[in-house]
Amino acid sequence: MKGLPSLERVVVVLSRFPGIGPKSARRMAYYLLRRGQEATGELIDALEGMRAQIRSCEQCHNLSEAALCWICADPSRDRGRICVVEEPSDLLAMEKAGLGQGVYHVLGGRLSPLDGVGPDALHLASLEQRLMQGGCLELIVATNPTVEGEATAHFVAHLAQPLVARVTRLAHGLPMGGELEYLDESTLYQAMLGRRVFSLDSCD
Amino acid sequence: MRLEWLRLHDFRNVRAAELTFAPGLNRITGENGQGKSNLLEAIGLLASGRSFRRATAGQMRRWEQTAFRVSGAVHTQGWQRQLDVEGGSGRQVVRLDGKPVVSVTRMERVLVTVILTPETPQLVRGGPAERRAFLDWVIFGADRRHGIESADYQTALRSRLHLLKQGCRSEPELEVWEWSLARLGARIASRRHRAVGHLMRMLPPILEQLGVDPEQCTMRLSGDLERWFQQDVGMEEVAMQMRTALARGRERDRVTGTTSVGPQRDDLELCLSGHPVARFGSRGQQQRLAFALKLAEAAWLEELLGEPLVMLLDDPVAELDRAGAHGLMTVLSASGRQLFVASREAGEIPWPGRRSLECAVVAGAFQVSMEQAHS
Ligand SMILES: [Zn+2]
Repeated sequence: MKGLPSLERVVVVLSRFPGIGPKSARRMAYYLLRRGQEATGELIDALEGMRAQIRSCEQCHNLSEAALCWICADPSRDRGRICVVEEPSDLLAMEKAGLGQGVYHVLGGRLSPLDGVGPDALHLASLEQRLMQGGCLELIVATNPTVEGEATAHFVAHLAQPLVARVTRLAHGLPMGGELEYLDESTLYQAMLGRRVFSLDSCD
Repeated sequence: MRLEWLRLHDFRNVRAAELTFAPGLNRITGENGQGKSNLLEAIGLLASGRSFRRATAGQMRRWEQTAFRVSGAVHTQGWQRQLDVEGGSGRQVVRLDGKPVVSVTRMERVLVTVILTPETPQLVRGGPAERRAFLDWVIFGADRRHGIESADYQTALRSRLHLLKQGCRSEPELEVWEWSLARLGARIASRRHRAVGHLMRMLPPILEQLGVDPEQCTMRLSGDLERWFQQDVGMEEVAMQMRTALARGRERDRVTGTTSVGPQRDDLELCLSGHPVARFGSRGQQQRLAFALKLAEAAWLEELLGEPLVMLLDDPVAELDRAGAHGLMTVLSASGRQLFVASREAGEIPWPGRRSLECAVVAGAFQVSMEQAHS
């Protein structure tokens, strides 16, 4: 690369961000250069702080800054109700929609053989352990309404049904092929209200 | 519904054009290569957000231009609605009444078209995949979920085969994909089952008008799930039977690399006097039957829409004899639909209606005239 390879490198890295094209990446890089050392230093500090502090909650695999995340550490939460989601961002969407009375279990992805993701790549063993300890009255499977999300939900339900009295699934009526993260709060709220017992034989 | 006007900008070989159309027949005439089909393509693009010639946005923009724009006003259900499609570089944008449409699969049915092209007879002549695609497209016109579920079904098919090829022995993991396949497969097969029923209900008068004896013509969907549905087995039971068949077929599917049960193996079998038309029919019979299927599709869609749709015909009489062409145009003129018919000369298209509009195309430029019927 000739000219300004160090600037080009920043542009390449920034343009990998979701929703950021090469043009915006370039504008961001110019902005940092214009603002000088201070702005760049601030960004570096913030990133390093995040890298040092953020880890996975030991219980639910949510993002956390302590051994337990703020949800698992909250004594007012209903531990009898565990909601299974694919990613921490889905958990945050549920919380934002005001659906956070229980606790969560973050799988860290979804089954997708074509991308090489099998059950071993997800936090399923720790879910099974949690359920075997008892105390869970309802497991709400809130994976995305995509074909991979449905397959994952089915796998989770199969694993959980011998261990939990009630395994439920978010109501359909969620837009097919959608992602929880991008749903508006009232849609998510309705889906939660209308959740129903998971049936392994239903075609709906 | 009808298309009132159309504006093109840097679309194919058209620099800029604005055309106002007649409610009945609109003839588009010109030598080959002048841009007749481009006009039909633009109308189809407004209706579905995609090119019926399967062209990319880059192929549809005019030479050395960065983007094209197609706009049109549709009179439907007593309202005038405006559609715009822009594309050529980056993402294609579809707007309805000025507002961007998030996804073409959720597009409202403002403009609905059925298209007959010289390739339409492939529907009868070609392989089962052509007929499955036709059926799925018909169903998609009535039920948008069908498109997403068909794509999901394909993902599940590939996922299971991938696991089998990798030698996966995890019973629960294979089972979840077979469950997905069975659940989606049963839904797809059930929609196809109902769609075929609707097409069969629409077909007899259409066949008759095209000069085919409806008594001699049979159509049936073949496939395991269809057979189960015909035995009046419920959806959940069909899904369960498919699950069982998938579990039993694992070893065979692993070896062949295909899935031996499911709607991906369906065929829409068409016979005349008991013989498959695909193999034994004449070219003329094949074309008449293919057109009849498309006209049955149009009739069913109209039943759902509650108003006539718009038909696009690209060189429809290419392989029809005089009587066939006359039969086709008689059916169409009686349908009350707005028609766009591309042909080399106006005289090739017999038209029993009184007035029609002629739009002559030369090198992407248009000359429009209203004419009284040739008597
Ligand atoms: Zn936690």
